[in-house]
Amino acid sequence: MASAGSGDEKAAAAAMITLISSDNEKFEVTEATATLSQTIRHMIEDGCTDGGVPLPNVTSKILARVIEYCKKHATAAAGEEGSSSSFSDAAFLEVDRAFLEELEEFDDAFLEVDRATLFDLILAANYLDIKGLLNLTCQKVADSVKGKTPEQIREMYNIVNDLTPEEEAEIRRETQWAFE
Amino acid sequence: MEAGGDAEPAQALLARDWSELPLDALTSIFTKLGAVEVLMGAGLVCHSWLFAAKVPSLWRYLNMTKDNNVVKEMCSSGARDLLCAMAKEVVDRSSGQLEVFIGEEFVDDDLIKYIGGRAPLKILHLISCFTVLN
Repeated sequence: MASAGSGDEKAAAAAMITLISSDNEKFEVTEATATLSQTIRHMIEDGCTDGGVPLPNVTSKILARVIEYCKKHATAAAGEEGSSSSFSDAAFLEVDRAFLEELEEFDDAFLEVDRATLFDLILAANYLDIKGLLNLTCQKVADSVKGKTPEQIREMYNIVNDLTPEEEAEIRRETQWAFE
Repeated sequence: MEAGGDAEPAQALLARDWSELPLDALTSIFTKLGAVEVLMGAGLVCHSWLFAAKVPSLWRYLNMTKDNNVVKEMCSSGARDLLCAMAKEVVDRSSGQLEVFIGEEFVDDDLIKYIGGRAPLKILHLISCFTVLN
């Protein structure tokens, strides 16, 4: 893609991709947005996106959120590239910082979801191979279990303790710091 | 792009099984948590989380400084043996992949010897470990 250029040129150059959710809803997105997903990037490179990309593991509700994330982050990336040529270094840094702050606010707001949605977003980010989104969602889980005992985490996330008696015994033997 | 999902409370409330998180996600979560948290908490929750906590590639980097509250508390309460035991557990789990070890205060000669015999460390960083003599 040529650097800078007019908005029209950019729009014309933007190829569109159709993503199809598990419940058959169609979403039109630009290639720049779609290729934040490594999975879709590979499909585009292999030329198998004509007629749309079916995503049988992702519901329309979750896909809409994922696209919202990709759009924002694709725009931010494009903005950073585009602005570097037309601003002085100091001004660029200023713009850069503003972008990052805005992006951080967006990410924070994006994570205001219930546990089930967070889980579905993690699965989608993993399946679509969107590194930034996987990082973001996993950080939220990490923050929530920090300093918690195994039992507290089980309660919090409704996880059944399915450790085998052998595993329990092994843990007791090896890890005398747990189960205080 | 509003997916009109107002009328699907049953689907939305359906509990997810967090023990079925993919391995890559668990690896990412555990990396962010750090060794002590994984060994004492998250890594002991259930079968699949324990499995994820034993993947050797998770244990390339071990940071046990007093920036971590648990390390800090255990250092001041005299539980240095436990910290050494944890570090040894990590060395074992890494299956020789541990590359970086940063330890503060609790490290002793015995631990250094243990690491030295089992992991080809690239970086060893000790802070205020006054009992290390060699």
